[in-house]
Amino acid sequence: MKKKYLVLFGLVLVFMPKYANAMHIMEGYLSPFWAGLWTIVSLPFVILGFRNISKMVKEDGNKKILIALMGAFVFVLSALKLPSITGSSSHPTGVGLGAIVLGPSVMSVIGMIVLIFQALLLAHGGITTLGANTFSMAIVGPFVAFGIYKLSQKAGWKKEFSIFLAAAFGNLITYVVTSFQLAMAHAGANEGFMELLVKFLSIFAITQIPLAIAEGILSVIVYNLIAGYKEEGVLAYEKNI
Amino acid sequence: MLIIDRYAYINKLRYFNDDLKLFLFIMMITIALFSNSYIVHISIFIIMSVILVGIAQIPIKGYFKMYLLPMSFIILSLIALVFSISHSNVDTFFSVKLSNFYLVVRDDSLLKAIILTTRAFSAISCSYFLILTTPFNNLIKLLLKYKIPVLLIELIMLTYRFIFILLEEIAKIYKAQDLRFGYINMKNSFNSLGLLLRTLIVRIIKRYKDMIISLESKNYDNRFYM
Repeated sequence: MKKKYLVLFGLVLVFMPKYANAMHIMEGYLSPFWAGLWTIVSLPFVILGFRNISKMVKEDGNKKILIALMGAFVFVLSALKLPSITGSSSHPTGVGLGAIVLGPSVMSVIGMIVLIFQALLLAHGGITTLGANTFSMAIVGPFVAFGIYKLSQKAGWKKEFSIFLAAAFGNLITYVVTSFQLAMAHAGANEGFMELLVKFLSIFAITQIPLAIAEGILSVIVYNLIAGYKEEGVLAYEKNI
Repeated sequence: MLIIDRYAYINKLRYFNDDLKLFLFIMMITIALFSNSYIVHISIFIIMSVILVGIAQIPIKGYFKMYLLPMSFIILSLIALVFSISHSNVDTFFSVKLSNFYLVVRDDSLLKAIILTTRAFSAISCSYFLILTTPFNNLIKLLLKYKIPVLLIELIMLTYRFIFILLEEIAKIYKAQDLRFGYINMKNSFNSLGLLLRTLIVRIIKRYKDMIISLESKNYDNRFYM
């Protein structure tokens, strides 16, 4: 059985077109059951983040503007093309650095708003699949990135390296979760969950590895460039970076 | 810069009742998602395309070009759904022998893939109907009407405003960098992209501070009135 998966895995990789874009699940690709289920799973996280944002806003009304600016920033990242070795064009998810700076639960709400705009302005993702995409990009991504950052800081690793790890894995895990979601939704009677998962992982996650590394490197570059501004104390949030 | 946003403002259905548009969208997409017949899917797709191109007068070339992006996602996942590896080649539509395995296309997975593809296209056409005919401020009005929390709407509205400011700045910075060969190779690309993002973040901070001052001078009481 193991060998069968290996052959499958190799084949998909070989026949993979090189333009594997980092993508969200398209409209109509999930049945109503799965679309509803992922919405229900995402809801508590988004509500938690929304509560945190309300608290922040109550203390300082100007935080609203900052959060919206961050959302717009993450959105425009998807208009940028990452340089990558395979020549494919893809966009950074931007949630890794955001989660480190603002905290993962706040990033969930921002991520959801960004996904709404990607669905409405770019037709990227979808309205019915918003719940599933929120779960992969705005919940698992930020929480994993934040966790990795905290753990590697505790382990005493260099800050740059921690940021690299957090941003790269935050990007990669998004597409691993997307593959799981697709495999779960489309596993049928004679095609098992595992078989589909291997295929989706090799299409959406393995090809994402160079792009995840690119996002990691970019996050470190951005961090290093902003670090010079930290001494001036322009923004309270920079203390967290 | 964002073509969907532009069409939403110039199409002929812009001033049509928003509630009716929303209702039609929800009804059609529900039918598309719950139905398992590709005839239903194809007819929804045709109805929506006729409404968009015929009545709303979205340019036909631009309209079909918009399906290219979803198409690449659909093709990618079709590869995963249609092809599989098997020990035998019974009940298959197509098979290739590879040493001791077969690369097969099963009959039932082919049918499933066809239905999934038509369902995706019909659902996408429904969402295009909503986003291509309704400008963003009308969508905000709908959100207000259906009692979405005000703070969330404020965040969405502010984000919408900032997106276009940032896109404009990115376009300018990118052009300046590109003219100086900033994206000629990998190393330069990474550096330029890092610089671009840094400049963007610095401008965001500056804009944030400016906006606080201007809001305070306008007696900002932590609320944007819509």
